[in-house]
Amino acid sequence: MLGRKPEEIIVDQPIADITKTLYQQGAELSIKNKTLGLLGKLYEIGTIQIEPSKFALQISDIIRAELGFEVVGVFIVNQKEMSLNKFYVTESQKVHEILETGGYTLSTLKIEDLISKPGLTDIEKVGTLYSTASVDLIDNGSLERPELEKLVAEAGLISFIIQPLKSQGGIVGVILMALNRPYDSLSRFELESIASIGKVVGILLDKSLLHEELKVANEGQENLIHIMNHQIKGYLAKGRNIFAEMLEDKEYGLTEKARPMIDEGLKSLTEGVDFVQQVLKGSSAQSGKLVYTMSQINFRSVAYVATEEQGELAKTKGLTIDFKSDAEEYKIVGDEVQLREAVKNLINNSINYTEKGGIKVDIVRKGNKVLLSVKDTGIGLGKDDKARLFQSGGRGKDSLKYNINSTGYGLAFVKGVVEAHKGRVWAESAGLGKGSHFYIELPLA
Amino acid sequence: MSVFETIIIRIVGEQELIIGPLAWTEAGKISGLRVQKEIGVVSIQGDPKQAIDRLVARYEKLFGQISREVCKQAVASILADLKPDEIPASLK
Repeated sequence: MLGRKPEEIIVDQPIADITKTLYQQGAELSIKNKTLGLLGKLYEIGTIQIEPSKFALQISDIIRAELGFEVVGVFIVNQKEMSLNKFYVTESQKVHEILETGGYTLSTLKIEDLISKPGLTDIEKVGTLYSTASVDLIDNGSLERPELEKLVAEAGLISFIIQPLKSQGGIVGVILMALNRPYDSLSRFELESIASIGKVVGILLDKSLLHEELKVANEGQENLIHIMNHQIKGYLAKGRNIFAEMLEDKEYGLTEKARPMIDEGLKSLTEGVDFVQQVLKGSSAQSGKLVYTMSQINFRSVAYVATEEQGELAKTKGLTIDFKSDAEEYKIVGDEVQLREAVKNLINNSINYTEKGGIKVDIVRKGNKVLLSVKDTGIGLGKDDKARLFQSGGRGKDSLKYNINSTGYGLAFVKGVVEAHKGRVWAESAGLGKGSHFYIELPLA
Repeated sequence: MSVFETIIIRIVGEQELIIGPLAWTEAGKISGLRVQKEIGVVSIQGDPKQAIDRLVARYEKLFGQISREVCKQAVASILADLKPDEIPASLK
């Protein structure tokens, strides 16, 4: 070894051949590993990020960074307009700076007139990868042709690739990639990655778009129900007012025979208005649409008044109702009316599902929080009940057996209001037939 | 970091994926080049293009022609932005 330069290598030929073979195999494995690594990242994003625009953003960023491309964008195929609508496009720092200098951004990029783009008709028919060195692909008429060509040249964009994103239903979109070298110069890793991206991202994007469609449909349905409920409430309230007026004003000359029927009608319509009102309020509270008037209030008196107001109902059912608290004022910042309504709902819920025994309302300090508990000797809760109890329209398994007027929105309202006050609500029960224990915890002011 | 340092890091990193830490050990034996896995390129003495040529040649001598292709592909996107006279001969 004496006198040999550090770089000097003496290699035994048979060993060299083995080394080269091993290296070749290692290189093959490395390509597979890198491709799998990239796909793993894409899958991870697809699993975590369900919102299509955020998904497209993260996918584009990852592909650009991992493959060293200048521009990567996800486009959705719009069959009606025959266009590729930009979902998200990410560009390298270099391209960004060049665009910025010229006063351009990629934000309005939209590839229109899909069918006239060379190669895109192929995508429609067979969904194959398409590459071109022509700016035809991104020429959407928003720039004069020489200006576009100058911009592309300055940005060093040599070739454009379109990889169709396939799902079960066909092509859902494409990934547009622009790079600073010819398509032919791409390595095997890059080519294999691009092919895999088409399959993986297509499925993930389809799932993401489906989720968005469902979300929009749900919101539409919720709005429709809300509007319908408002209308129904209006009709019911009008009927209730007419009946009340008829009963109160002797000028209508109600016969003694008609009076009990009108009375019954008024009672039924009042119940109807309350029912719809509860659904509307529960839904508004859950969706965050309920308006709150916040001020410093004493939660002890809120809970006390709510308990008092439910006393009559408990008495009618032959149940006891106790309120227990020390003399301390539990000052919180909140909406007195909505919180009182929430506590009332909680107590009302216990009364509705308790046949004998009673309800205990307790309020104590717990560090810098106040804890209200409503304990009943009612039907208790099963495992499944706890999970759906506070959801809109969610009821306990046998709920309607005990309370035929259950809207399933009473406790959803409680949850919505309490969470709007940065508190939490939960229920505990030793099981069916063993009573329930409901809690509201709120931060003290 | 200079473009040549980026090229060296990219090449050694790519070789590391195939041959493991040996990629750094071998790079450390190139005259005029000081590298450290945790830091990257510590220093390049002399012409950086020649240092890159020596690095590529060393891998090629040990692992054959394919290792040169691996080096070239690893830095293809960087080379595309360089002028022809800026590109090290081994990567042309």
